[in-house]
Amino acid sequence: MSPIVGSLRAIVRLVSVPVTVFLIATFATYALGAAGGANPAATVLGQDATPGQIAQLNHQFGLDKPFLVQYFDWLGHALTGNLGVSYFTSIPVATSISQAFPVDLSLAILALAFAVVLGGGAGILAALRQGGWFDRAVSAVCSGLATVPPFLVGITLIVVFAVFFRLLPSGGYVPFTQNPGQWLRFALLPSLALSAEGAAAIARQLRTSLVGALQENYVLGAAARGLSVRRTLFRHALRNAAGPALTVLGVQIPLLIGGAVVAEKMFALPGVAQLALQAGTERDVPVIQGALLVTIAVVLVSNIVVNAVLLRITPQAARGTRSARRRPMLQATGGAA
Amino acid sequence: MTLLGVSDLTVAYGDKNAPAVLHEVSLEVQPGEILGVIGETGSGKTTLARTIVGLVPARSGRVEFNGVELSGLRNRALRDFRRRGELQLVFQDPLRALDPDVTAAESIAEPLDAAGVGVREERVERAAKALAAVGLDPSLGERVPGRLSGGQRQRVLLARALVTEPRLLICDEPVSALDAANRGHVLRLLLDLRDETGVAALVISHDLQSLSGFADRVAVLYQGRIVEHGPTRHVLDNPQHSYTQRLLAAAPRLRSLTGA
Amino acid sequence: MSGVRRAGTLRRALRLTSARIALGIILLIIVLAVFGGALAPQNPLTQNPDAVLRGPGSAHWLGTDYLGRDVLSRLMAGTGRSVVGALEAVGIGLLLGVLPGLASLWLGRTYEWISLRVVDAFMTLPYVVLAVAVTGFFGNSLTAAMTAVGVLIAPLYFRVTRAAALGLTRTQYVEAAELFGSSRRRILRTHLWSKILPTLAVTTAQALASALLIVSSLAFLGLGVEPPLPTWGELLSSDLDYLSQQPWAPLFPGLLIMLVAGALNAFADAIRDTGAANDLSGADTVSAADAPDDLPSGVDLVPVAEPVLRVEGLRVTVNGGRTEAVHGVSFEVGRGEIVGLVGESGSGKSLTCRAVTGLLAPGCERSAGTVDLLGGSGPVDLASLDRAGWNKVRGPRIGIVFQDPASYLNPSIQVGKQLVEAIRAHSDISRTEARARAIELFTSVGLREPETVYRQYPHELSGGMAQRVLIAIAISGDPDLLIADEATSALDVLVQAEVLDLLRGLVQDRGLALLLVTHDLAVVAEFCDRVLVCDRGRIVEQGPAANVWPELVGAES
Repeated sequence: MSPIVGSLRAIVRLVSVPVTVFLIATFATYALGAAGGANPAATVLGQDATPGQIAQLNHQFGLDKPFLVQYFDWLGHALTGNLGVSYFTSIPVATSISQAFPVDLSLAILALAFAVVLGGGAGILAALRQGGWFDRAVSAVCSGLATVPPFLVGITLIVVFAVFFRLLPSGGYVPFTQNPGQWLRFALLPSLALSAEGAAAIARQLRTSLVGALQENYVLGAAARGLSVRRTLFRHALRNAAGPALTVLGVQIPLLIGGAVVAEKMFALPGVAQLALQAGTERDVPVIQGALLVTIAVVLVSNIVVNAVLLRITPQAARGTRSARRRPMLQATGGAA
Repeated sequence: MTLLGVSDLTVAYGDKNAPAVLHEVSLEVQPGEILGVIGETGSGKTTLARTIVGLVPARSGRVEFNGVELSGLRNRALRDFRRRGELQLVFQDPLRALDPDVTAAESIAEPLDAAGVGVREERVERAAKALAAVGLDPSLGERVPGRLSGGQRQRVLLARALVTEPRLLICDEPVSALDAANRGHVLRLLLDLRDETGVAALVISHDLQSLSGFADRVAVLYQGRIVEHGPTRHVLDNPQHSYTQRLLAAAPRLRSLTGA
Repeated sequence: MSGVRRAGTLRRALRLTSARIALGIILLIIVLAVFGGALAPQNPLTQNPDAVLRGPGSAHWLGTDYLGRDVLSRLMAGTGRSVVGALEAVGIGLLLGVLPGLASLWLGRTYEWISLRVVDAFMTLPYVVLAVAVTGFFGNSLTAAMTAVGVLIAPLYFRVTRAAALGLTRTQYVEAAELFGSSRRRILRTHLWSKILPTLAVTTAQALASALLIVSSLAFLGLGVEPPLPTWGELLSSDLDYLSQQPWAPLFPGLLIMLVAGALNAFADAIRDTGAANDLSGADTVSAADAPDDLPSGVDLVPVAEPVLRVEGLRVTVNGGRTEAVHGVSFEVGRGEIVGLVGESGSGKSLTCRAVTGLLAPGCERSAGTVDLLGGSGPVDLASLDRAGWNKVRGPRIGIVFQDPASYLNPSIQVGKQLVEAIRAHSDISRTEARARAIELFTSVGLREPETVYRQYPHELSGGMAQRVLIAIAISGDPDLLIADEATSALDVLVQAEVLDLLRGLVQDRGLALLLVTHDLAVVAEFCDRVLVCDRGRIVEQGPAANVWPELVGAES
């Protein structure tokens, strides 16, 4: 096998999964939209529309074509940045989404940063003080958060910071590009609320895997070599423990987006979710499908990023899977099973 | 007539380009004979056992048992052959080869249950007999593996293999998980069983010591090839291949010390 | 008693108080779900314009809402719809997830690949977003919203089932069953089902808890809400509009949801913990069976010329101090000497070795005795060292090599870099110099292609190579004492002989003292200058191998 064919294969293997997943997810959601049987012509034109008018509008929306043709038309257009036109406002869906998307993106990045810093810090400290009061407090807070409806965190933040202390606004939005300081004022509460679930998940996973890593032989080995505690923790234990936590972070991303929908509504933010919610009540299918497509794309791209980072911090995972196939799988090697 | 015939067996894991783990391995076991296969970790000895019983597909070569080509059996025919229980594999690690939730007696009866032999009472009775045959108290049959000692577990594994009255046992490192005292017991048990029932055995080991004075013939597996085979005494006293010579050079102190 | 088959996981879980309380709450909620509407003190739909937004009082225990409806009654009446919504979602997930998950193991590669991709595809969709879309496409109803949620719970069940079953189908006992010609249905029934079921129970309890939270989140967005019928989530969302008048109002539905979700999670934890705890207790019973009877008496310390290590009266306790496992061990190891510390597992030799190196596991402790490093750059009382002190000793004074060498190397870092790290931890040399020294050390421990080995990861090395790497790291600080804890036990005979030769060479060339801890009598007899025989926490024999040998054979068998 030549090296060119080899690397081509590697690329195909790398891309084939996300592309297939993308196609399945978009097809499923598009099919759902079609199966919903929303009749835009009747909705848009009202009760008195003549069959001729309806047929003409259906033709205009492309709804008279076979379903598969519609899907591939839509997907083809979507890949060139054209997500169709809202049934009601006639505004291109891509335009509405590109206006609303930065709101979510800036919010999500801030929330992610909170989740990583708060969750990561709490997880590491809890693992180092395993069984101590801080550890117990962290697990209590984490399991508490798992039983609280996510928006209750937001409500509590609003009640405390906006209603009671009047420190921060309870809703509204200023774009980052317009005024970063104001943006932060408005984004702080929603992103804190949004980060709670992710922070809890990261803290819990990092604590578990770090406690596990600290019991591994290689940590003992590092001590046996006389390496300092800090070096052992950060270079050896944390590096291997971060993998599972990062995987959890990847799993959290769809939940983060779901949470963003709730946060947008609660804090009156003009994001994609508000757009989709509004479209949902009007059964404005192109807008909903556009929002779904963006969601799927964002989740897939972040998964790819997470996987790339995972490969960097645990390179043996990539080399391991390749060489493991060549070796007999069930060699008895003794040791702890 | 040859009981087990393995000819030109080549095995590889993975695709066409993967290197072979076993290279054209050929060996035979006659009825009532004990053949020892010796090899170190990575020599392919576990793969050999797993390929013979059909857990690993061979790339080429044949495995014949009692005139039936096992490597040609598929689905229904393979299952029917297995249910007859003429060929049994004794796994290396009893803790992993026994379901932790299933009692010893139930585990032993499992091959009979799978084959649907007779009525339930008959199967229970045969399981109890097998338990006695390996020298275990019948009351131990009620225990789950976690409540048995290592030596007892190894015997349960042996009893499970014997319950179908097989003609050939394939034992993968049957004693390596045991301490010195239990090793001797289990090996002696195998010899006694051979004398009583005429069962043949292919015993795989990394430990030359445990095979000498036990196997009728030995084959030496090195890097996936049989480099030497013959009567045990003959191979031990007069090794031909350099690997066997090195192996013996590393091991004689064991023989002189433990006085076996 | 000891031979009894394991009790059901559920029954064992219920021995925990937390599980019983959780089950009580769950039963209460079931009663409320069925009879809540009938038990409610007032009609949950009756509006009263004269009593809107009342606080808790005797007429309305939990107050009234913005239409003057009784909050307590609405909470009780809303239980049914909230619970049914969650059950619906979880039921759909269970139905769509479990069977395809099992099938993915048995229906061939193509089905497996496609089903995994479909699962991936569904996992890209957030619950809330899909619920928004589905209610947008199909109209706003609780069923539509919960169907959307259920479809997204299915991947969870798929993965959990598949992972649990996949692990099990690779066990040898399932392989054995296949070799007996067992049918798949039989294997599923005897070996898989009882082990997957607790996992599914845990998943279901957790999924129900999240479904309840999701129902309320969706209700907050107005999804799945069919006014005027109450659900817990709907109560919460209507409270939000009146936060400034009644900031405490969300507390009641919020607490109720938390209580139920908490009970479900606690129940799941109880099932999972008892399952895990049982596995451990099973393993313990066997080792506890060999009780100590007549204890052998220990031998006194035999002084050597030029001692490097002196251990006197060492006692080690395990189980957090409750049991003493090493009862006063004394010995010395001299310069250029190879001493074998030999004994069966459980004889205390490993604990002794760990105590000497300061690497005792949590729960184990040195309770008495002294351990001193002598010679070289001055004596050190090892017993008094803190972690920083140890870091100055381990490496430059003591090198340690273990059994299963690859596991003592960080799996994510090239082994050469780990050697460089060890070198630089104890000397102020540049990275380039350290690298050159690393290659040199690799060569000196007999690694044939040091440059290639440098760039390899631990799992890419054979056992013998990994042990050589570990030895290179252990001698990188130029120690006086090398401790090998079962360092050759897992290796094949030939590799073991090579590694032992290497160690002997190091002792001769560098004047090291070598303490070889092993259970292998043959190795000790062949290789060691002097033998210490460990039995039940004492050193019962000591002397040159040839002298000790006959008694040793007697003790072992």
